[in-house]
Amino acid sequence: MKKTIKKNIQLLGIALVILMVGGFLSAQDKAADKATVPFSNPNEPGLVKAGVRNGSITVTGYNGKEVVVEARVREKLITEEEIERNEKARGLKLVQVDTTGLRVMEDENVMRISVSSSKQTVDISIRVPYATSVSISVHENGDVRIENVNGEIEVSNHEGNIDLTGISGAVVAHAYEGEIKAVFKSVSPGLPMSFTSWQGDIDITLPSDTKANLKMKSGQGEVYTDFALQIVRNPDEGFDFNSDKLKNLKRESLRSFYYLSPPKVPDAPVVVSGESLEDLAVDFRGARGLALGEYYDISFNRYIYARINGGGPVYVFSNNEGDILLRKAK
Amino acid sequence: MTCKNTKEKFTEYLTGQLSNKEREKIQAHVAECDECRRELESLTEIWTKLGVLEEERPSARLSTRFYSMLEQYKQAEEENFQKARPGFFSRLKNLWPRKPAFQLALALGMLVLGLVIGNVWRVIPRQKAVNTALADEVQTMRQTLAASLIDQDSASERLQGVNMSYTLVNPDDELLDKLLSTLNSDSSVNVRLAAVEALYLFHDHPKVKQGLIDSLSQQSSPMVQAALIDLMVSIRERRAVDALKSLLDSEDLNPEIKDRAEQGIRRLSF
Repeated sequence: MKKTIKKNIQLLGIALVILMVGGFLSAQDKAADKATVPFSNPNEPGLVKAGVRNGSITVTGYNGKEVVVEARVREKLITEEEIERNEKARGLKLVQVDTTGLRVMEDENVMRISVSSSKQTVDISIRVPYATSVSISVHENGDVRIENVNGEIEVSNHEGNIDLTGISGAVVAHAYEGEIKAVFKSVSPGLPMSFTSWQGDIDITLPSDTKANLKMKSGQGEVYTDFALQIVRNPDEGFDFNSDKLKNLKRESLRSFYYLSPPKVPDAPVVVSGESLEDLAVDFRGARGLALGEYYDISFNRYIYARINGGGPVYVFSNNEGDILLRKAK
Repeated sequence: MTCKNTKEKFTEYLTGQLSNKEREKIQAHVAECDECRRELESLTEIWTKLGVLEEERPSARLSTRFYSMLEQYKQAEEENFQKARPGFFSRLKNLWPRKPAFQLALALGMLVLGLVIGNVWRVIPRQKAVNTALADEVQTMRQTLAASLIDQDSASERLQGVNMSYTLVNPDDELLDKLLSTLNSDSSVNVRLAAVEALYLFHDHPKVKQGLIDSLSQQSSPMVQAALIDLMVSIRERRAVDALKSLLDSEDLNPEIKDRAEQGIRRLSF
């Protein structure tokens, strides 16, 4: 009898240990490296610079004075491909290290946040006082999300998307593969902005009374907007260009025939009457180009220039593939 | 801090040359003193506007006005002269006042007229010189401002600095060097792209041309690579062909950039 009880207790003990270990393990999946750091001068807006090579970064403005950083290792999902690739590991469990090597340094109101690991995917979430400028960069495996921040925002993401909501201030953003989406609450008067992407859409919502000079260029996509655009034919007007210089350059570029685009299919024979010499030149060059099997998509500085609400600082929107969508906040 | 020495610091405050402590002092003073705040606000406004200011030119209107006046005067004189032609000398003789007092008055009148015309002639070029000096000063100010903005920590401000350099006619070597180093090493792709466009405007400067060609091998971002290739083709820079060829040899080259570089080589060797 006694023996049975003892055995039972033993079993119970083992079960408890297993439970605890299990609990510990599952808790570890969610455990984060956490740091709460104040700015050295909390009364002035600080700057947060954060970068991760492999992972994602989320920045949220909150009603507080300190910067709260949480970094956690994303659980690695083992794909069939990987199992096939590593046949030897079949039937074994992957052991994941779960410390991120989070590092937070503060100096004169500039906070630098980084993680030491680039092999593991690390998701960082940062809470900052509303009035904070941020500079964020991510290379792969995740998005950058920034919400409710009031300041200057510099952000780059090589692989993933950039998603900015409820922001106030000025933005300089570059996404290589992903898309850029930004919804502004307000913009800093006088500061220029720039949104560039190689492959993604650029989808920006500005307050309807935003005053800006727009420079827009989409290599293969289209530009859409519900703003009333005041198209500027001579971009030197108010576009911070040295007009004489640009005019000379334009003339010069026109001389080199790569400036022209899209290709103009020449009618044969070319109608000469009533056309300016320049138009004629266009046709001639077009014909020559087509004869050589060339396609004129190379040109420099071929932007759409436009003002909204009378004009203001220059906002650049430029991508290669993907569309540009510029919306009025409702 | 008194109003006087606060105001003296405004310029440094605006260019960001003050230490945090001094900035705070000024902010504290301005928060309390209405007059200084108003002055700082209007200065800030002017400072911001400087960037979008139209280039100051020697006033064309002034000289036009003077020349049209002169033209009118000349025409009037000519007409008089035409009218006077028949029996010119006898008429001239008739015009000569008989009384010595009138003779003196006429002589004095002529002297005054001569002085006036002489002075106007002297003033016009001087006015032009003043205007040119003013335009130069604005250029220099902008150049300094652009250069100091390019050094800033904030990407928006660096962008503003690069944008400002678009307006310069002849930027000095220092600024061109800054733009070139921005092109090669700025952390933001957006700022680097803006630098390509700024340097495009100054591509006829030998240093800039060489810098742009050299930069092809230093860029990792396809966007900047594409912009540089387009620029080379646009300015028909044949010397860029070698740089484009070595770009083709580099590893991990984006396939689209490869196409574009090949197209560029074809066009430049054409």
